[in-house]
Amino acid sequence: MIRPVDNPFASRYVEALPFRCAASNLDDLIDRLVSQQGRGAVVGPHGSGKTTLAEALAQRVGGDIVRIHLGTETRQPLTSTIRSLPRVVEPRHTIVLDGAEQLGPVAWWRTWRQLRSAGTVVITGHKPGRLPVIHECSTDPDLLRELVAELSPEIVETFDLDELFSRHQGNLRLCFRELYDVCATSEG
Amino acid sequence: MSELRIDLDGNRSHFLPGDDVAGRVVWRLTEPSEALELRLFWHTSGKGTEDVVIARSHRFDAPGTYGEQEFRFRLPAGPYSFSGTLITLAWSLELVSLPGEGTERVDIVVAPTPVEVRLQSLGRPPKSEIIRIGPVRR
Amino acid sequence: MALKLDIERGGPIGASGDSAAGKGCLTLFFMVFLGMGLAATAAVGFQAAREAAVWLWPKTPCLVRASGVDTTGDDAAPYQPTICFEYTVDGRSREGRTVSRGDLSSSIYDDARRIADRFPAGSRTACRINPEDPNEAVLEARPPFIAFAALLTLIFVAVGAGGLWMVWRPRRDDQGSATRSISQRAGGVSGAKVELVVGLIFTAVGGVLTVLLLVIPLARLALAANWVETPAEVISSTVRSWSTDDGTSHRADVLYTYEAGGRSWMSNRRSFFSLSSSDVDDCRDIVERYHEGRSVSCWVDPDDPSASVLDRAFRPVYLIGLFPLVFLIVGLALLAHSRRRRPSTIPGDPPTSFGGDTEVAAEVTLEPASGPVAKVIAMTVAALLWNGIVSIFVWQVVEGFRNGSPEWFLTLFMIPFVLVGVALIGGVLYAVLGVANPRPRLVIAPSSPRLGGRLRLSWTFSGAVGRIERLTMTLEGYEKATYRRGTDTTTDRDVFASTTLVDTASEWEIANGTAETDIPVDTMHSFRSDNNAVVWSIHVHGEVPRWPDVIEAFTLEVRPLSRRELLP
Repeated sequence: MIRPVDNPFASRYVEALPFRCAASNLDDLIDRLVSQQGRGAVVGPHGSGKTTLAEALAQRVGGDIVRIHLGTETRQPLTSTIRSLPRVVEPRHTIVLDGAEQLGPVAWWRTWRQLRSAGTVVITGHKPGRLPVIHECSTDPDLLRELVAELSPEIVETFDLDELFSRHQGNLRLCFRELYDVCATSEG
Repeated sequence: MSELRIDLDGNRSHFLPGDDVAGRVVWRLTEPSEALELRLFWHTSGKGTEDVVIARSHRFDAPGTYGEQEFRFRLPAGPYSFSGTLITLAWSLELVSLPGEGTERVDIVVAPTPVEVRLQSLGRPPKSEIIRIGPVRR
Repeated sequence: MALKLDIERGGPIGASGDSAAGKGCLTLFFMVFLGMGLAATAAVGFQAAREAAVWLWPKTPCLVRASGVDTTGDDAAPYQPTICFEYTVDGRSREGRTVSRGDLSSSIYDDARRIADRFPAGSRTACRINPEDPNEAVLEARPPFIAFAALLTLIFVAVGAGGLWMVWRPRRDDQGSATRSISQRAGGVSGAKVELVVGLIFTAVGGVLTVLLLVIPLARLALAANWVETPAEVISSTVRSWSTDDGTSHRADVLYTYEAGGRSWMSNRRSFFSLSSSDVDDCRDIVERYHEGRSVSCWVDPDDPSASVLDRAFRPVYLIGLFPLVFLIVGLALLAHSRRRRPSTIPGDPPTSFGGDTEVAAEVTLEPASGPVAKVIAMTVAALLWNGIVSIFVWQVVEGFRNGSPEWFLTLFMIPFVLVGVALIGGVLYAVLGVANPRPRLVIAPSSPRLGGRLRLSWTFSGAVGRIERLTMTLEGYEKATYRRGTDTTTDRDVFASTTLVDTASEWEIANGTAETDIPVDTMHSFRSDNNAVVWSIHVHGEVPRWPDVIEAFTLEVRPLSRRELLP
């Protein structure tokens, strides 16, 4: 039985996958971000790579990266999560705010007051609205096949990835989690 | 190029919980660093988000560009190194240069057995998904 | 691959980073609160001191010349006792008209009359004289109840001072420490404190309002069951209106007179429910119904002819008292739950939380954290709140159909909400059925069994245990891994060990019994970190035919081997 750390679909390997997009490359998106004065939103449905892209953009921009993740099961109240921002936000800071749609209008306004001094702010959400969109993430079976090939070429040969993609309605995260179970239960 | 090295006494890689992890750290740096920090930690990987917990650490201030130092850490009683279906928990020693990127890591096994504990899946979730923790009365 | 253990070249990660302008605005805001609170507290304190000072005034005999109830001209409190008395100081006769320091005017005629009745015309009593001004005298010293108003004003002081402290308190600065960035404390302890405070507030506010709006009116209603019907005549009937912070309040003030106990009485108590209304039309309807000069019937207390009421029937408006009851229940539930929360240990903490050589208690009793009654209350509150709000819109839909102009969009929109409401009602019924279920109580020994060690289990049931047809108890060990990415969180569980402890259909064994098993030695002990855990639990399943089964689960801590146990 394969060890979780060796499972090709363990979270560490999935999260290390670089952002991939047929329509644009990372340089184009960086240029767009810069043209928007370092403010931008990455939007898309669940499991479409928003967090991955936001992280890639932040890494490319550099600076002191501060990540805030607002989930539906955030452990701390939103206010104390926002309080984890640096005491003084400066142009050297690159802020990644993952799950910005979790913030109501008042919470967003309060957060934005603190963030606006940052050099770069990238937020993720399910739909546009708060900041100009840098990229709208979407998925297709070919993308899934490409990513799975990078993690485990054997699975591409033996597993019906099109059916998997269709069953999870394009949510790549759910696809990877099912493939984790497939590898975990397979012999050898 | 900078070199960081961790040498464990007797080249051991397996330890019983509660054992002392002892050895020597050796460094040769191209530029002096503020400090070196040796960390004994465990981390999880698998299907869930990874956790990292530092059990012990020791800081060497103003290490200069080269040198060596002995160290000794007492391991806690747990958690054991183990691998199941969803989680692998592994122990490591890591030497980092502060600030900077230089790191060196050595993996060890902390368990009652010579290898990590292996858990065999029964292929199902628990009978009750919702667990209530009973208040304890003594 | 080296692990990055610190936030990438992060700057100091501290608490909220308010700008100077923001801090200034917040400071100003909280200083206003603090200033207002202090001023109000000072005013209340001053008035309370004035009223309390009367207790130190010397007494002197006086004669009551006249006593009655007068109108004040203030619709909010139109009645006040008016008493004229005569007293002598330094050989000079003086006149006083003050009953006590403080405002005695009231919207309830009976309250003013009771005070006046204590000092009937022609009676001799004692009055208190201000030693600094003999022209000021009062008939009685009253406790400075106004001091309780300081509780409200102190809230403003607390908000203001607390807010200033929050803005200006020193913050911890992590200096990019890797330790803090990696291991996060779960919010167990501080969360319990917030829950306790909120629970206290809800309980206090809900309790007071429930007593005022539900308990007292219903108690009066019950006591009035043996009151006597008595003819009465309406003397005056008017709609009183006055300005409040929320706008204008109205009240129908119907003053009537009746004969009882050999004398005439006057009262304006229309019912035992005394809230004012914001609907002036309702008040006008009442005033028309009880117009001036109309002969009516009132109900009089045979033991106290001064107590009477026009309408002693139960009206739906009394049910308004149920709303604060919800707050009271929620507050009590929060208080109960906050007592059960325990601080979580730092994951992977050194020996004290991992057995080591520490002492382990001989046994421990496990009971389900939330009892069936708590579940019923929780479900009922949820169902009441949800259906209460939904019913407003459903009523609108029904009215639309009745009036022949149905609102189709609203009708379709409300369907899912109504379905949820129905499901909640079903949940209440299911929970109510569960109340009747027997409840297990387990005792395990030792309290933290070790890997490879013996686990002894004994059980009993409270309640109707005879209804359980079959009882199974299973010891399970499982991995639990939570994945958080973006806004999504999912948790997987996988069992690696399962042992049947009990499987019986014997009535005697089901009611109480013992079992023993060995914890497998070559498995993993209990542990937990932020996203991953190994959990050991005992699953209890009691099959009850044609009824919800008894299903409970209890976690137990399986500890690793101590050093002594590892070494031969």
